[in-house]
Amino acid sequence: MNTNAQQKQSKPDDNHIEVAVMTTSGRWPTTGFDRVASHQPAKVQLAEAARHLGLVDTSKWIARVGTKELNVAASYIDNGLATEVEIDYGPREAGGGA
Amino acid sequence: MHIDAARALFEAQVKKLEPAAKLRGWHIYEKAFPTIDVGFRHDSRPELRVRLSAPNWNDDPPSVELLDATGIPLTQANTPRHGFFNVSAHPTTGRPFICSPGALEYHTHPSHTSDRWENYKAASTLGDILTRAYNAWLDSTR
Repeated sequence: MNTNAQQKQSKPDDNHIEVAVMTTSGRWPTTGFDRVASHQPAKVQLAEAARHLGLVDTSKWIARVGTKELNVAASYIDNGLATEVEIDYGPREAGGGA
Repeated sequence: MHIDAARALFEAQVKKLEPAAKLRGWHIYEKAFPTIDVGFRHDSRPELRVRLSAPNWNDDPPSVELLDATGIPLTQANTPRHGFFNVSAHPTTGRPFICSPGALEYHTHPSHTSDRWENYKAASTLGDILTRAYNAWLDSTR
């Protein structure tokens, strides 16, 4: 008998991906994942997260999966992402120099 | 800011950052106002511990200490190599420091006292400050 995880793996959907965005100001969606088109640019869901979480300025933010930085203008497929992903989203470092 | 308001804001922001901290593999050593002390861990890299002290949050930015895994302040020799971290001795602390907006040591350094915290505080949570340090550490060499 298959577990739910095995069922998910045996019925892949190449056209969609489950996405959650994690920031230090909260997670979007708050629980579970949003199902979005795999060909959608990652920045669309990041903008949705920013809106829901009330993020003030994400112009200098970066998105990572693990330690790999994403090209947010590219699709999930083009970023090598599939099935289910938690995107780590937060401000890039800014060196000041003294 | 009144200490109760500072504490409330501190505690609210610390609570919000914990899920992201877990995802990133951060180890939280301390999270009681006014101190949040976090260890960044990844693969075989030496852990960087970042201790924020924010008694007047967020009217003032936190003072940020750079520590090793045992809590000993970093020296010039073992501070991560990245422009975000200044390996020279800060005039006040005498130690390496974070050279970026959001750290008290940056805003009080003679080189950029004109770059005021007020320009950044509306868009800076404690989590944002820790995240900048984390991203710099990930991109650093040592």
